[in-house]
Amino acid sequence: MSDNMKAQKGIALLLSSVLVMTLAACSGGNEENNASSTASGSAPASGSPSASASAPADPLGAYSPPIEVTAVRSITEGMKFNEGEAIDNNVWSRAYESELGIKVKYDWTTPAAQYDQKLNISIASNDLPDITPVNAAQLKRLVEDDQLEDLTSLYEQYGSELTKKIMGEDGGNAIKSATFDGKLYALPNMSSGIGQTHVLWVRTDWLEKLGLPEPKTMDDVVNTAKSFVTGDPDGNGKPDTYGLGINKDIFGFYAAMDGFFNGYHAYPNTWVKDASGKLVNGSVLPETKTALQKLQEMYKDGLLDKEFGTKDASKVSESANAGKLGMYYGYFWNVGWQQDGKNADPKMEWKPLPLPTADAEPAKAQVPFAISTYYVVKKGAENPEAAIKLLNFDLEKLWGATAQPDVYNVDKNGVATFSFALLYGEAPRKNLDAHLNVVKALESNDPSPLNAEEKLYYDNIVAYRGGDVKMWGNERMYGPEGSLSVLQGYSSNGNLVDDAYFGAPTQGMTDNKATLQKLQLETFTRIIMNGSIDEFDKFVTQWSDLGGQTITDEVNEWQATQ
Amino acid sequence: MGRRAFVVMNYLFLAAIAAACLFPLVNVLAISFSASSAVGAGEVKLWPIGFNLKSYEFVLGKPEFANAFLISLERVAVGVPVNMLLTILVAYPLSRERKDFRFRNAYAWYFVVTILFSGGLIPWYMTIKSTGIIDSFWALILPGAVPVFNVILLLNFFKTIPEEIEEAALMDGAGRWQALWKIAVPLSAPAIATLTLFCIVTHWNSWFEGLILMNSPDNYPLQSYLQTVIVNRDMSLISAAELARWSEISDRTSKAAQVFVAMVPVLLVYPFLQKYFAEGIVMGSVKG
Amino acid sequence: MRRRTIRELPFHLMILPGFLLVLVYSYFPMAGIMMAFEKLSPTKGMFLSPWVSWKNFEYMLHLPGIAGVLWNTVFIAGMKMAMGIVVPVTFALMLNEARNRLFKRSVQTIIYFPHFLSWVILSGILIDILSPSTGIVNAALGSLGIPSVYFLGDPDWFPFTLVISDVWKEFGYGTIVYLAALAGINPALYEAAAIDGAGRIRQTWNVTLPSLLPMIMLMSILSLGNVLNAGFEQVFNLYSAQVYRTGDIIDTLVYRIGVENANYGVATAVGLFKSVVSFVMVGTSYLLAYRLTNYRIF
Repeated sequence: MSDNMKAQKGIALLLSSVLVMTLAACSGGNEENNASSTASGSAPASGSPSASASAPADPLGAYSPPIEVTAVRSITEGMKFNEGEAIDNNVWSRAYESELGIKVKYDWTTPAAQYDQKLNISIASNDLPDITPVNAAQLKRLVEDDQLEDLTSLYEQYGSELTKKIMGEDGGNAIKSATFDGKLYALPNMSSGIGQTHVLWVRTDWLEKLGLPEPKTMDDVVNTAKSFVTGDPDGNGKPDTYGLGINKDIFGFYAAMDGFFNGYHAYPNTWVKDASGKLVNGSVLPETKTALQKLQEMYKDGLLDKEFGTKDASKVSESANAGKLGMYYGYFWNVGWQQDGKNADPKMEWKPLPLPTADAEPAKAQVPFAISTYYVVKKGAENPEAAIKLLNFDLEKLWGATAQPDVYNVDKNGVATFSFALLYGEAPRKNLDAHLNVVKALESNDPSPLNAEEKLYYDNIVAYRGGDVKMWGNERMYGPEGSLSVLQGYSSNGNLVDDAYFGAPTQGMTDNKATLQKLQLETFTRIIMNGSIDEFDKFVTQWSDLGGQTITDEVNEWQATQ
Repeated sequence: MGRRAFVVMNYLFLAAIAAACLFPLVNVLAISFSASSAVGAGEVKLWPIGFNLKSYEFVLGKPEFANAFLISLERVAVGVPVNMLLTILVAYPLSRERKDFRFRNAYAWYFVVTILFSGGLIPWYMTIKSTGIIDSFWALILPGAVPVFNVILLLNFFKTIPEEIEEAALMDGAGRWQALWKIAVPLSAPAIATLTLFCIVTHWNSWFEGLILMNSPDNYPLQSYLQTVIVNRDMSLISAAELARWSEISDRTSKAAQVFVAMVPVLLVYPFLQKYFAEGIVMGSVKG
Repeated sequence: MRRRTIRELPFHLMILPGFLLVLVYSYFPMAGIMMAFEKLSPTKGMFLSPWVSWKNFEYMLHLPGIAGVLWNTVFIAGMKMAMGIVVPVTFALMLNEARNRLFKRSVQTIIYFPHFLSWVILSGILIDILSPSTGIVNAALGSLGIPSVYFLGDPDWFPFTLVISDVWKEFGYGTIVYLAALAGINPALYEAAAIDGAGRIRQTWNVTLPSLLPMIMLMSILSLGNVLNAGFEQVFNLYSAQVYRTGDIIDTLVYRIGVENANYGVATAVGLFKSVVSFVMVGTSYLLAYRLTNYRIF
């Protein structure tokens, strides 16, 4: 243990401040990884200087004598501590003890990539700690096996006003998704689904070179792709560039086709309401067929990489960085992957655009259900309400009237302290508000109203404008023309389509989802690579027969109970 | 003439195969020394582009790395002797004929069955937990202490020892234990060196036990730790923060450096053990 | 009788420590095999969970496309087994012919290198060098006038790509085993053969190969236990939707099912199925080898 302490001390010296700062610049773009989501605020940035100023009301009252609760959690690779600190010794753990009288003891910690596996073993061997972060499938299994404490009345009794306000900000869906047979079994980790919508990333230096406008319609997308292939945008005299990036999984977050399908008003892998108000899966609707047909044409015309079927997102990113690719659909933070390319070729310029549409109707971006992590309490835990108190405390210190973002969010050393909190949640609009605030500050040249996190983005953008190419990615996300401005546009114009199903995985999904996903990926890949478009109709029938119909029935049954 | 042509062809062929085996390693090595922008663009093949040592500074400077490295060394230092001792002790009786050891067949199947059947991850974990060694160093040593595959290999090597040598020793009043240590083991030096190498490599390379049986990343051996770094490249887990970090040292260059640094100790041990591989010829001289 | 027991006592004592460790860490967990017939309920525990008899097996055998997946598994694993014997034996014999000790040792060391690289890393390299448009392998084939091959994307080629890349990664291991066996051959046998006027090729045929035979048999029989292990790590990192038809194997299928729901009943059932098949294969070949050659491999 002491070796480790020494080790921890060494690290702060070695990692450059850039590394630590960029940690804070992260986004909630990724669903599995709650600790990487950022914290900031719709809450006023001016926190009270003394943490003890808050009156010891019941939701935040301290235990006397102090209690101990056990927990487990994942540690992300990027998580850095202040000198001499660790996951069980930091600003949060000390505050839990001194202000709540709760000592959190971690039964185990593990890197994020191993968390699910390790937790599944704990669940299967009935070896849960008091408080556990779980995903939706795990939550369902735990509820079915009766391993969890019913939190319904405790939440009513102990939940602070702020907690209930943040939990209700999405219209109550988050709480509903944690409720089984009218009983609340988990506290959702509030986050934003809009961070998982697509934008179209385009190389504007290529557009300029070829004299093309920014693509607004799907026809523009196809034409731009064609020019990128035939117009020799890299000027090396060889036809070695691709038109539109696509990865072998077809859907996903980088060089994925979700945004392309959305342009045709198709919403694959998403549950949407049909005309009669029933839920249907977007993968099997006619709009999806139209979009597939278009992709097939593009493949035939050489606008997609002929070998896309073997290339995953990181391989596609290599092509982009090597200056072989000028356009792809992806998440708002994808530009971070192009930093290497920008470093190598500073003339490279990527711009995020709102999704082009196939007709007069604006394209709507599909939004997956935002909640991917839930906090559960083991049945028979000695102090089940401690979890709710911890959540009250965490939300209060991050977003409440007594918030101290420069202590609990990102501290003065640039350490992302928010990631040490055991229970976490953020207002769904957090990143968008950060973007708006940063832009306002840039316009007025006055960063004083910004909180610590927003100030970092501000400083990075100023540095980029001063010539520091390494800060380019920050400007492309949070700056005036940044990708978040595109998401803000979706949000203010209502151009979003939410996944209409947000319950736990149904029995049909558990039994058949793997089969259906394989069928879909196989069929779609084959169609794009010059298969017959009629295969789509066969796919729809097969999909239905292999469990899709069962799932659809289950999902509609669920909807009827909502 | 024919002979000479064969020899030349043979050398060329062997060299070509060796080159094919060397290629990926050289590629990884080149990546580890290259600038991240060149690696990110997929330009690096066999020679570093934008040579620098940043990745090595980063990797060797990471305290987790040094810590995990030490745990792995300890694991090899304790685990390999335990493996080899048990392998020899089990393999020797099983290499005897039935007339000398009535139960050999039953014992042999007792061990072989464990290669073919297992109870799965959960019972395995629960057993280890109930023996009280979870989260301790011994969890990396005891559950895999008897490498049955190696036992079978060694018992076959023991069988090749001419019976007369041992019979002569037994006649001279040596016991079974002496026959084992004084005759069977020394005469099987190449096999034992080979199996020692396998045990070293197994202990050094295995990562799964570490991830599952340790309760904190601080106790991970090297490969478990490396696994967490590598698996984090998994698309679903990459955060914008980690990506932005790549502007300085890319994840790929630092991982390449980590892979290489992790290989070096085994490469150092290898030639040392290799000396024994060829020394089986001694057997003939003992006989004569 | 008593004397015999006393005489054998040292053998029992030698085996005892290994026996106990295996009992605890291999046999105790085997109680978990019963999970193959249960729907595991952690709160009730392994011994009291609801019994579902053969339902987990039925679920597995009724998965759409399971027949193809089973065939892929056996096909890929079978080819790997065959190549996994032939290539290292051949290579060990050829290496044995090389007289230059430094060369011999260097080659022997180098061919073990790929073993140290994980499939995650190797897959990145393979996708590059096997690309039909930009990869060096196809460039080399092209210069010989052979049209380019989409090794990783063509379903007809994919299984062979798996076999070749796996053999390439792991043949160094087998070669070392055979080299150790070669080192154990009594030189007197060669001397005798030379006196009889046998040339090098005859010596290889009459002395070397027969001496290697037990080891070859041993490795073959043990590898038969892998008849349903086609190599999860490798396939998982290299396959894609285009080659599901010929590349999807039991382990990748189970993995995809397990990602959603951690279904231990089905996972254990699949494991048990694989174990029983392996057991039958190894047991049969063991007996067959004993009948035919009178040699017990263990």
